[in-house]
Amino acid sequence: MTDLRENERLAILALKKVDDHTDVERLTQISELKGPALMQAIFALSEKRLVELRERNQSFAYLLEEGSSYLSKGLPERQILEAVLDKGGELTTYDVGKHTGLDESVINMALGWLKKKGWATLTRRDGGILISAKRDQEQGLDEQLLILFEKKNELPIDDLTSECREALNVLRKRNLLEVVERTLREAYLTEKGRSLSEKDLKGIREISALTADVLKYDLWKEAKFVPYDVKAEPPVVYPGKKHVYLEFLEDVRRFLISMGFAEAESSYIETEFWNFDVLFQAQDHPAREVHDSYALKNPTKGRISDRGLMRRVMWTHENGWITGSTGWRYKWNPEIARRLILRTQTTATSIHYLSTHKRPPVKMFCISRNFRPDFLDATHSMEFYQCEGIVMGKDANFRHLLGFLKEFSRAFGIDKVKFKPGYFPFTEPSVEGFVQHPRLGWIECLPGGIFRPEVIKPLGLDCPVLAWGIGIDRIAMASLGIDDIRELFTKKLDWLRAKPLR
Amino acid sequence: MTLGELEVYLPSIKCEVKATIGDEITLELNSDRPDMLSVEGVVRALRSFMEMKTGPQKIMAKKGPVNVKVLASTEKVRPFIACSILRGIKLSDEIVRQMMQLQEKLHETYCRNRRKASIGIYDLDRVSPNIIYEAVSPGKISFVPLDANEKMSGTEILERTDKGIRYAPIIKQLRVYPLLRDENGIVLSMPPILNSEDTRVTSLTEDLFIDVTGLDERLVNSVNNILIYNLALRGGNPEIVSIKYSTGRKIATPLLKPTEMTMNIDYANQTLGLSMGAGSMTRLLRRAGHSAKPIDGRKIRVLIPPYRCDILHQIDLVEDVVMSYGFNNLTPELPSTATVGKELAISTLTRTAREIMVGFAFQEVLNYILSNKNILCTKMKREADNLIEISNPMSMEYHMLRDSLIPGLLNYLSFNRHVQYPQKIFECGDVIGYAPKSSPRTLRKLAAVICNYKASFEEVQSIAYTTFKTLNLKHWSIEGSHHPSFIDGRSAQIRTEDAEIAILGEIHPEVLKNFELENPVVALEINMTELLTQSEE
Repeated sequence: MTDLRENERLAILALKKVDDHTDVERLTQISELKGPALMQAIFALSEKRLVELRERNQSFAYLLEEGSSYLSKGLPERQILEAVLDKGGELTTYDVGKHTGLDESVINMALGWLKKKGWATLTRRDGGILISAKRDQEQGLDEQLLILFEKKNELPIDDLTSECREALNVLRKRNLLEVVERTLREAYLTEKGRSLSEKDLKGIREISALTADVLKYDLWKEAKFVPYDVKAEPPVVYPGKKHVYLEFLEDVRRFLISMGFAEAESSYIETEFWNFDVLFQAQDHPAREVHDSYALKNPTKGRISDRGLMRRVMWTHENGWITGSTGWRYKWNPEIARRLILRTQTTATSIHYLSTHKRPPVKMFCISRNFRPDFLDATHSMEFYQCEGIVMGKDANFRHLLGFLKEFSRAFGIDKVKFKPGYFPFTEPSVEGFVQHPRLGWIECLPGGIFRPEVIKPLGLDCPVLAWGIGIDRIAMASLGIDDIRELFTKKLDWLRAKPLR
Repeated sequence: MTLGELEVYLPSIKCEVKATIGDEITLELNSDRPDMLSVEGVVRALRSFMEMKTGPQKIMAKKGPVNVKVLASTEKVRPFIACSILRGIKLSDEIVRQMMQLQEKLHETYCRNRRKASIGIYDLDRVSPNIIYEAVSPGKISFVPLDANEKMSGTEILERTDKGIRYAPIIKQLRVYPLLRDENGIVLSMPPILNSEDTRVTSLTEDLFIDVTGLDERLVNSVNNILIYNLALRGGNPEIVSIKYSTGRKIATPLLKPTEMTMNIDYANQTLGLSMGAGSMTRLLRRAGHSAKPIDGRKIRVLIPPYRCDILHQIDLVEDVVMSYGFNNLTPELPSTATVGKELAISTLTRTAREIMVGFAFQEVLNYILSNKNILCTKMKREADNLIEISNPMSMEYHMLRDSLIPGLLNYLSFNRHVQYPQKIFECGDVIGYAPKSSPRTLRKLAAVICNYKASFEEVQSIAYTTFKTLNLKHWSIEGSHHPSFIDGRSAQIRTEDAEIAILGEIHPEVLKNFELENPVVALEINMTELLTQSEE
């Protein structure tokens, strides 16, 4: 049994009504299907070899405007002949105009045809022309053709006899009609199509969308599901998605929590005291020059509530206090310490945390943003993430710091790590960790150290504090295959939409 | 030694190899070792580290005839001076180049752009051995400064020479300027600005006179030490200069006496996670360039050479030990400190909220906290009263801290006008809340916008309601609000009893036009920090 769709079935039934073949236009007229649906069905049937589509060019004659005006009254020569006979066999051209209402130019042309067809004789008289006719004339082929147009708009001319075609040609030359060539599609029922059984052609209900009603009334049992073209492209949809960089940071957060670190945060707006002074960065240290941190227009100064800490920090800077250090030996200025800036390092967060968590063991982390005056380009950003952390423990030592940094890298798929001595004003010893990236080579991204006694003693701490502040942006870039730091904050919506999640 | 070997050793003494061209290596140095700011210092450290010649550099210096008398006038201006002499040095171009580099780098870093200390190097033959350091009024100063061809006064030097213009702020406000001259009135220099042409060091110079003046006696001596030690590595005989202050105090510089410090072996071992004995630790300290000797099994007496000014505390010696030991010879070990990990409540809430937004098929985006007045205010049709501005911005693109996420999201949309609609984006991030005369507060906010050929209030309203239900927030109410960025009558605020927790509405057509957006936008912003406070109560 051939599997027919409803529309295909209707198309075949229509074809059967017209002796198994017709041109498609005609089929449209007799079928209950609408044009496009019918064409679709015919094409589908032709793919199933039930119908053969043939194309052929055919010429059609169409009446032009002047031709149409003669449809009811006949050609002008006929009109003149009738007028002459009506008036007794003789009439001047002047009177012809009056009796027929024809234009002078048309009359003049018609005189030629009267003479040519031998329907009348023409003689000059009194500066005009006298038309004389003796009897009525039979319709010529040209007139018979014209009459055909009373019933149809177009006349296929390929089927005409050669005489008729000649007559048609005359009318065409007289600009009464035109001939246009058209491509005709004809549908033929093939052998296979003709052999379709009654059963094949019996109508079955089809279901395109499965609806609640279809289910409710069990309609699908009597019906057939319209098959879909499963290879057709569906419309594009975008899922809701988290930002790829924040997801990376979530992984880092998960890892740190799994290692037993507690999260902390502090303000982006910070006094220089917490950002620098507590970290034993001398007030005239080059990293504290005005162009190395963003200052605020308003408010400009903040409060340092812990006066005791402020004094201890001052003494430590000036002479080392009881830390065992020589200090920086200068006059410490509380006004500089009160200045508000955008924090340049999340180390400020670690220090805040330590000031309220003084009993070991302490393990803290913070993944947050810092600010440093810079022009935004492919490798610099005025705003960047840092992954900060500390370990305070009675037995915490430098090898633990290296061990943590190594474990951190391993968690993000990097096995090769090497360490070099580094320098940070607030840690000693300090380390720079490098990780080996398969594409980018050695990347310097794991800085850390042990907080100096000058940092922890004023806070009232006595245990070693391991600290690190990882430039997580660079690790994320390497991991996400991004070469331009601005891409982490990309403004390209389609890039984010298209970015795979893994 | 090959370049390759050098490149391996250098990073171990904090010299980062930046470039190698031919047989020349460019190094980047860490700022805690001013003595390594010339090739001599790097070589000294390297020789010791590679155990070619461990321990400190020693120089023999005799007391010479040159003396400096410091007059009281310098006391309130630039009170301290240290000097040294190097006789019989053959000045090659390379030596001069290194000398200049050392001087320049010390000035820039350790001397804080000459403010705290400044260096002068002169041809000793041009002056008498009796030198006077004083401070005189600029009008009375008159000498030909280096590279000039006429005499100038102190004021003219500050106004007409390059160095004068550059360093003028250091002394311009003073009534008297520092001046170094000999007893016959031949000027050596006007510290910290410029030397005189008279005393210029040339290829014929054999004996160098060095002075360092400044505000901090320790620093002045450190710099003087670094200079004489580093230059003496090239040859010549150092000589001591007697300095007599107006108070009668006498001092002989350079100070060749090492600084003594005791290092506790247990402290070092505990810090590093090692268990080294006194012997090996002593050897490592010598390798780091110190003179070291165990006192008993628990302490080491360390003599720090006069050019090492970076040692403030015994922890700095511990670092020298571990650098000599080699960072990569340490076995990394995971911290043994057992603690319970946890995240902040705001992080948990943020994650839940982000998941809800993803469920609503919003794409998350990320913007900077730094923004600008145009985006935050002008385009949003509102005033900048409650916004914090940077006083020293690098660009006017980023000079203001955001207090809302919506302007950033509208700006984001404006970059994506030709991307397929509907565009549904959200951001969950920090903003700074501020009212004049109060302390700025960090607030976590969540904002979402929908941009489509049509977008209605109802869309964000239903998202807001569902979000609050999902977050189990009770007792809130909505009321119409007037917000300059929204259409009047189509914006609202959602409140709990004591705080506003959200705003929402249809963005005003004028705002859309300002952002060059061609489609309507509805927006919602929730104050997560406030939400957390509510749920904790």
